[in-house]
Amino acid sequence: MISNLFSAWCADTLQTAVKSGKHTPFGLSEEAFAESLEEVVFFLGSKASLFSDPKFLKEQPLVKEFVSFLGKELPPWMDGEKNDTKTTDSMSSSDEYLKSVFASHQQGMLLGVHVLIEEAQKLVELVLGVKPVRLHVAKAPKAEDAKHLLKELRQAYPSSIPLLKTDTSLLGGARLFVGDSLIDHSWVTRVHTFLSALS
Amino acid sequence: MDAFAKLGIDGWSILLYLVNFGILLFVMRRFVYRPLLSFIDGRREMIAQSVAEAESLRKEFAQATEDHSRQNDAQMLELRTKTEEIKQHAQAEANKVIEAARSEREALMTATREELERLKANIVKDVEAELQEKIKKVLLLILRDSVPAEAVQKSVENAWQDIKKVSV
Repeated sequence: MISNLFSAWCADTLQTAVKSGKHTPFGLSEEAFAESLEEVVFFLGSKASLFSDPKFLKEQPLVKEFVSFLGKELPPWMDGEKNDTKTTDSMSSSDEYLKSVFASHQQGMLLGVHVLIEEAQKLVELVLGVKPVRLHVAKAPKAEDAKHLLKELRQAYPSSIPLLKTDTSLLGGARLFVGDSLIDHSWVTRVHTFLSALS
Repeated sequence: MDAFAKLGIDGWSILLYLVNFGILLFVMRRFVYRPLLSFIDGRREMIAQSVAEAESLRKEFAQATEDHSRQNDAQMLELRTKTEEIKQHAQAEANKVIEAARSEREALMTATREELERLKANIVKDVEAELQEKIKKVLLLILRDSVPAEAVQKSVENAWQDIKKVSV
């Protein structure tokens, strides 16, 4: 999914550059931008997965810009601030794509959003070295509460794209994953701990 | 003298008698008495010799008897000693066999005890595991089906507050 968003973002970037007549976005020279764009387009067309060549991703300046875009653009969608945006002709391809993805979020189809965010986290980790942050909660919080939780997570882990996921198997409480580390305050773990203490 | 004469005894007769007696005495002495004495002496000597031989034999017999008795005693002593040794050896062997059997029995009993302990521990462990699994199922069932949604919501908020204390 992140490949599709990246493709859309590349198209937007090129379109913006053409429209503005300024062919040097992100402080890159015209040649560097053209070369990077060509390589990225070739890469997206030839590779089955965006993560099949981590070295390429780390070295490409456009990928770094895309990661920066993700950090800025994904949170408003996750917070539900842009979900009501009307589709217009002037809407960018990336916004259109995000709208389609987060529309399913509003309808309760969370899988697409979760996959997108997890892939975004993976890309951010690969390029910036920021560990993915995932908060699993036993019950989906209200929209306002979810927004507040995500805001607090972003403040606690800057540059990260936190994922809030409902996991009813926790029965109660929550779990926070930061990279490989885990802070576990779930009821299911308390039950297991209690039973272990019995034995 | 007349009386003698009436009896037919006169000097000549007496002399004849005397001469006759002398001859008889000489002949008797010469041919009977001496050989008889010699025979008697011989017999006496032979008897004495026999007695001496008998005495010697008696002494030899006594000595032999004593030697035999001594040998017999020595043999009996040796026999007793050997018997005692055999008894002790047999007792030692018996003790060894008994000790080996006891050790084997102890080892067997220890192994059996250990096996029983292991089985017991396994049974206890299995029962505990089964019990825990049942407790777990009941607890999870209660938590899943019987806890109000508000309580779960509250637990999320509380958990987040606790997580923030650790992570933020």
